[in-house]
This record gives sequence, C-alpha cells and structure tokens, in this order.
Amino acid sequence: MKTMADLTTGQKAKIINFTEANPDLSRLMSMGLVQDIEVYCEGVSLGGDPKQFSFYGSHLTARNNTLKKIIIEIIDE
Amino acid sequence: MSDHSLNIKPLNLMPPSELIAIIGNPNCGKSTLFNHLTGLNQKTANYPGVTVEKRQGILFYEGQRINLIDLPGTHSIYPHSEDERIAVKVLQGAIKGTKAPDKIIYVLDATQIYQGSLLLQQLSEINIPILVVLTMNDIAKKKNISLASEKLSQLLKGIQVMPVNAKDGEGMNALIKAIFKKESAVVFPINPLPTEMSIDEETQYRFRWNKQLIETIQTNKLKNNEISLGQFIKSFIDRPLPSTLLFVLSMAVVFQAVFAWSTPLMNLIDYVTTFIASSADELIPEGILNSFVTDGIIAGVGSVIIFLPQILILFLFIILMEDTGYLSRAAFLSDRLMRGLGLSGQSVIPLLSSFACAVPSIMATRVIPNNRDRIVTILTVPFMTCSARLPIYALLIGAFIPQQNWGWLNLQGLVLFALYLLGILGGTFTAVLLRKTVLAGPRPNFIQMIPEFRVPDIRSVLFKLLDRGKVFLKRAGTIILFVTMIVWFLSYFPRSESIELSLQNSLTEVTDESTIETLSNQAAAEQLEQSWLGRSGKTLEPLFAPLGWDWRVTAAVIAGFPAREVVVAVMGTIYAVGEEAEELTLANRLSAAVDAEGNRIFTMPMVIGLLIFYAWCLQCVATIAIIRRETNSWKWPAISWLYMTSLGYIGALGAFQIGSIL
Repeated sequence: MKTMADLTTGQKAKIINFTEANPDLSRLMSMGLVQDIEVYCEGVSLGGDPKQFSFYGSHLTARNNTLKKIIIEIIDE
Repeated sequence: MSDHSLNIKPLNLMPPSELIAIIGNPNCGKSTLFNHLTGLNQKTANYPGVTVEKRQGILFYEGQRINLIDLPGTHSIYPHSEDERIAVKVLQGAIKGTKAPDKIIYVLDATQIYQGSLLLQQLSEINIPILVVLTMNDIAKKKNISLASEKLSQLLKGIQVMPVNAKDGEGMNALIKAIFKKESAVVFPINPLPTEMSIDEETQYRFRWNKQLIETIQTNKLKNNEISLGQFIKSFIDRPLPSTLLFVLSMAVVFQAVFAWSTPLMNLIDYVTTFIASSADELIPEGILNSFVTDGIIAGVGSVIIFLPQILILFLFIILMEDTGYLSRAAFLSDRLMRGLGLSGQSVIPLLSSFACAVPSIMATRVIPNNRDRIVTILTVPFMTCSARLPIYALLIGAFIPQQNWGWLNLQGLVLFALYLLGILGGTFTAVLLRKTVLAGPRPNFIQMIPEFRVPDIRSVLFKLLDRGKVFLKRAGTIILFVTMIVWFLSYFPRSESIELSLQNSLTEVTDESTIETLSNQAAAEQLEQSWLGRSGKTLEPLFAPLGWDWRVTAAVIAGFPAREVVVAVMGTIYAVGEEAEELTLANRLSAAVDAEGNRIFTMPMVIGLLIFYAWCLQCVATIAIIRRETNSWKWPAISWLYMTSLGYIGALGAFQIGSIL
C-alpha cells in the first residue's frame, strides 16, 4: 500500500483514502486534497522531505510524516 | 452640575456607514484589491487580545462612503489557525468593536476556482449578500483557462460575478458601482448538504461539487510542446539542488542588503541627527534645556528612526518575496534545516535577518502561521549577533584581544567568530529549551500552499512597506523614545552646583584649548558619577562585582539599556577622567582604568565575561518594544529580558570566576 510520502518527482497518483482523522489532514482537505482527485508530485526538498504537489492548478507542500497518512494509487502514464 | 452633561452624545449627522468584508483564500489577490479600493484611506490595528492584524479602509464614491475590512486569507469556515478564526468571527459579528459585515466581497482567483469555491459554498449559507470578484484573469488567460463569468454566476445560484484586474483598473469602476448599489440580491445556498455531516465529510462533499464545477466551466486544454521561458525557469527552480543554490544566493543578497545597503542611510540619519543636535547645542544656552533637547529629544528621535532603513529594506525584500511567491518556496527549501530547532521553514527568514537587526526580524515573524512556532522564533531572534553589537565587540576586542596571527587565522577575528557562534548557540539552546518546556506541544507541521510565480503589484508593495514603517514608528517608536528620555533624565539629574562652579573657576584661569576640553570632560564625568545613573551604578556595584565590574561599567551597562551601542559612548564619558584622557583612545583609557586599590578593571577574564554578557543579554529597548507589539502582551518581553539578562549574567560570572582562578 503506497502513501503520498512514497511519491517522487514526476509521479502522478490518485488519492484513495485517509488513514486517520486529525487536524493536519482536515487542513489538507480544506485546501482541496480530497478522495478521488489526482495529484502530481512537482518536487521534493533536499533529502526528499517536504514534498510539493499540484492539483487543479494549486500547489501545496507538506512533510512526509503528514503525507504518509494519505493512501494513494500510482497512475502510470 | 448634574450628571446629564456626561450623557450628551455628539449628534450623528452621518448615517452609520455600511461595512463590507473582503474575504477569500490566501494569495487570491485580496489585499491588492483592498489597496486599490481604499488607497491611502486605510489603517492597520490589532484585533483585541490577539496578534492578528485588522486592516480597515474607507471607499469613497460620489459623496458616499463605505467601510471595508480586509479579512485574513482563509480556506474554510472551519478555522485551522488564529488568522482564520478571526476571519470567521468577524463574519459572525463575534468580535468586539467590529460589527457584522453587511455585504461580502468574495475574491476568487480565476486559476484556483476548484480550491476557492469551498469557502464560497459555505458563505452562501450564512445569509449575507455576496459579490464574487474574479481576479488573476490575465494569468488564467495565459494558462489557457477561459471562464465565462455569466455561466459561473449561473452555477453559483445567481451570485453576481465580476472579473477585475486591480493592477490596470479593468472592471474596477463597475465593481465600485456594484459595491454602492443599495439593494442586494438574496443569496441561495450554492450546494446545500443533503444530511448532517462531519467537517471532513462536508469538505469532501463540497469539493466533489467544485470538481464538477470546473469541469463544466473550464475549457482547460494546455497547449502541449510549448515551453515558455517562464516554465523553463520554473522547472529549473523546482529542482532541489538548483533551488537550494538559488535560495542561498537570494538569502545572501537579502543579508547583504540589510547589512550593507542600510549603512549609508543609517550614517545619513546619524549625520543629520548629529547636525541638528549640534545646531541646537549652539542655539540653546548651556543648561537643562540644552541637554534635554540635544541628548534627550533629538538623540531619542534619532534612535528611533535609525531603525527605519533596516526595517524598510528587509521588508521590501520580504514583501517582494511574498508577492512573487518565492517566500513559500524558500520556506519549503529550508524546512528540513529548521526542523532541528523544532521549528519549520517559515522561521528561516526572521532568523537569518536577525543577524542584521532583531527589530525587523521580529516583525517578519508574521509569516509564521502557528502561534507557538512564532513565539519560539521571536524569543530566539534576539540572540543572533545584530549590527548594534558590533561597536561593542569592536571596542573590546580591539582594546584587549592581542593582534596575533597563526597563518591566515587572526585571534581577534576568531574571537569575533566565536561571539557569533555564541549567539547561535544561545539561540539554538533557547529554541530547544522552549520547545521542551513552556512552549512544548505537538511537533510543528509544515502545510502550506505555494502560490504561482507572479509579477508583484508595485502599488501593493509600496502600501505594505509604508504600513510596516508606520507600525514600527507608532507602536515601538513611542516606547523607545520614552525609555531614552528616562535614561537621559537619570544621567542628567541631580546636577551638582559645586562641580559646575569649580569648572567655571578653573576655566577662567586657562586659555589652552586642549586643557579646557580636558577640564570639561572631567567635569562631565564627575557630574555623571553623582547623577542618578552614577549612583545606581554604585548601588548595584555589589551585584555586578562578582563579574569583575566596577560602578562605572555597571552604570554604562544600565545606560546602554535603551540601545546597547550607547554603552560605548557612556564609557567614553565616564572614563574620560584624568590628564592623559585627551591623548589616549577610549580603548587605551579602558585598559588603563584601575579601581580604588590600583588593580586593573578590564582584565582578560572580565573582558571575556563582558563580551559574553553582550552576546546574550537583551539590552535593546526597541527589541523589547517590538516583542510587546508583536505578541500583544508584556509577558513575553518580560520573560525574554529576564531570561537573556540572567543568561548573560551567568555567562559573564562563569568567565570571570573561572578565568580569575586560571
């Protein structure tokens, strides 16, 4: 099972589910990161953490310890 | 007289004006719109009890006025930060002194319809008329996003949608007319919830609607195989190594600018202040008034405006970085580094710029959304070696640390480097300590939106810059001026008539100019000795004796409380005693100073101790004033001052005691 923390630059994925309910995840949801949307990993900081994603024209960054709670399915192009 | 006279209220000739709230997601162009609507008719204050800034302004049109309030950027009606909480409370009319808005201007970024429509859906259910202003249309066009505002309005259940470009004024007149239109359309819930839902469920439900919305209205076909220069630069910047290099480079420029570019301006302010003071000195006869005007008022005002160059230069960079979208990228890049301190990438700019001056850096902590992280950063910032510490370091190192070289290494340089390190160590220790104790809490996270790169709006940049300058002068300036006056008072009063008389007597006997100067200096030193300042130095001497300080050092350190660099000038006056005073530099005079038993005061352990004291203490009323303003309480400045002074005292004590044994 892959999570958003596993994504590397250039990969695309679909959000499947959230493993828990917490304020950080709620905040990400309020920014539009919800089930069934597709995200694109735009870049990573030095050391692979934090990561930057884009979806529907928005760009968002978060740390791996938050991202590992979001289950994804990698989309092969 | 009866009590009735107290109850008379001024006649209210003007009808109470309407209040319109401007709200939207962060970075949606809200503030640019606000700045263009209100121009200079705006002011910044704090909401009661919190540090969130309240930005209010007035819009005039055909003899009518409307009050506008620019609310903090928000994603959802369920707040996640103090800023968002305030925005929501204002909409509910739950803030004292701010009435509930009569109308909402909802700012929607045309490139971010998906994200921006969550809050819009929620606001459509609170019974306040809404007007949607569509911004960033030019960028949307470049991205090949075409939007029909009529169609959008239809999908939003009839809410009026107005495309506007604040920068070139397109659509602004129509918008102002619409704002002043008396009757407002009833707002219908855009996407009512079918059942009771948890917050997360509601968010997900609403975003599903947003997804459909943009699929309906956007004909978003990105042209393939067309790489613009902007995209090329962006793809380069978004790679870790080049972006880190660019970040280091841009930080170096900021650092250099705050440090070096401000120097000529600060010298100019210094020159003008000195010029005005010396002109006043010549115009006003010797005496209290002369000293009050030159050493009190002029020096006090000078010590306030001397900070402006650094504040304005640093903020020019921060505002530019913020408005171009680079600031959040810089935070993204440095997040890993700051995690070691228990902080996040958002603290990097305040901490770096604090090497120039703590005052603008503490003002810059506003970019940190989490209050706990912000306070940790504010209390860490004053430890970094700022430019005001340099004159003291230069004086003491130059006088007491031998000029010794080992290859290309120079001992004086090494000591200066060690002092910088000492500051960083003190700051790191403090950040970690605070995180483990009073400000312990969940590990800070780092969730933020990264805005598109965009060309900043000059007018907005200038307004924000002007605002920062005003905020500093009004809030911190008054406290700095007040404390400077108090120290002037302490060092001037009481005056001794006998010292003055004996000076006048001796002056009649000599004509040689250098002797006159020596005598005047001596009299000034004697006056200072018996002033409240000199007396407090003597009273507090026992407290500082374990550090190897005599009353003169103690008095100079007290006088340096408003601004630490003043200590050099006070030492200059206080140690100007003796016949050789004129021939010797201040450094030489310090090394020659002896106590009553003829022992040297400035021994190596004492000097090292004094340096450590200045590396760690908080001898700067401007910093204290700005902490007070930025935390909106006296608690944190008091804690910070006590903590840093104790740490400095302990450091100096340790250095002197251990050094004296060795």
